[in-house]
Amino acid sequence: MFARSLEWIEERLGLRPTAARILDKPVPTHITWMHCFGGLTFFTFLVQVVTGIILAFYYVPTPDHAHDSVAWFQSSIPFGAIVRNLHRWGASAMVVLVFLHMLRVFVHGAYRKPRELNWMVGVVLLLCVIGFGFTGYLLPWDQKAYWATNVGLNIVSTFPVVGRFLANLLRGGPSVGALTLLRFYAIHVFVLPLLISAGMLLHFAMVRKQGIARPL
Amino acid sequence: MVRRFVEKVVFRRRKPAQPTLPGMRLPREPLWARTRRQPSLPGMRPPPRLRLVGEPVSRRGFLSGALAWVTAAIAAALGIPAAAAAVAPALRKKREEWSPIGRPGHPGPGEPDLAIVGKPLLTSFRTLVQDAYLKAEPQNVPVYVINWGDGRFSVYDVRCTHLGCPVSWDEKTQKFYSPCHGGVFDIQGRVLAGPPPRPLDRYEWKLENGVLYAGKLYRVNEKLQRVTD
Repeated sequence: MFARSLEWIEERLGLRPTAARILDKPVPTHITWMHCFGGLTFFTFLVQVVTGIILAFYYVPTPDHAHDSVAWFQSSIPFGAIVRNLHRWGASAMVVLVFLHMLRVFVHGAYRKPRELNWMVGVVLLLCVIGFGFTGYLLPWDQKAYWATNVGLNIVSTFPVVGRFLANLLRGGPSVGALTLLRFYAIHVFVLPLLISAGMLLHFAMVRKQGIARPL
Repeated sequence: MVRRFVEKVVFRRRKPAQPTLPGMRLPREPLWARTRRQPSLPGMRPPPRLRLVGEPVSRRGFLSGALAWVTAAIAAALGIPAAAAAVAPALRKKREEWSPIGRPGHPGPGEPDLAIVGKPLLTSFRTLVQDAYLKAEPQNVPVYVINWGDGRFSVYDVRCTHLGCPVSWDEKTQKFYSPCHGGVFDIQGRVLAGPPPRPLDRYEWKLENGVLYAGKLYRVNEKLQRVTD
């Protein structure tokens, strides 16, 4: 039945040659396991998307309820602890993998001409991942989250000239509170996902266009 | 030097097969050199393979099949917990405790006397509602109570069975009217007019030590027989 449905769609749209061109692209012979880190980062991203959507069904970004809603989700919803911990550990895994990916590209010298643009997009993606980590860390609204965010925003405020303003902008005022939580939540679930999706699209398209760099 | 190493090891071509004699040993090759696929030209037939069961599986077929199964396993490992966590609240059970409505003959302040016979009385009971992560809070549930005078009671849910608007009892015409879409019910809760699909829902009741309690909410059919637990 599945095959017949596919045939029905194929008869109307004729997508098979396009799909074959995209999916059956030959991989060069010099690929090693070291080349997997980028794909693994993308895989952890997908895990974060799925678990993040489920968390968004239960999470409330207000100081009154943030911690309770996370604790309740983890203790009272079947598989809640698995879903939240996949998101929590997946976040750490993503940072580690994206770093290994960057290290591989650096060691192979794959950032050199003509791939400088893709390196730059990659740096934006790295900043997105770190931004996800920083904003997501506050959301459970416990002591660790609160003080880590204080420290992080104080680091921002040491930036010359505009530092204090930037920190206040992110904080939504002079001290960490309800607006900070809401801002971090909005950045975490709306701003960064859009940004990182656009960046990944560019990143992957450029890899396709330019091919994988030859080893040294 | 690196380039020479790469050319020597990574791009080593497979050596042509040599004729062998029993006991003769060929010089060792790295594993990947031996397993590398032979180049093929269009129209070239694959070499005959060892036949085990059924059609021989091509390497490409085996790998894409294995990839599909691994992908399915990962999708299940991620998808099942996610879906279960999202669906779980839909499967929660209904309230199961008994909640006191009042003492017939001894009404509390502002409450109707449930000893009055044959007349629907609008009152309410309190129940603890646990709303997700919020603190459990008492909530007033409005009900119509009828004391039939022979020791039997009826406890109707006030919500119209059409779309949930609260019905009200009209003493003059002796009917329940819904304010929204013209639903009308008689004193037994049966539908007299309008769109409601079934009689008024009702609560289990019991009289214990002079106190009337409300239990689980259930539905009835046109003959007022219970159809849900």
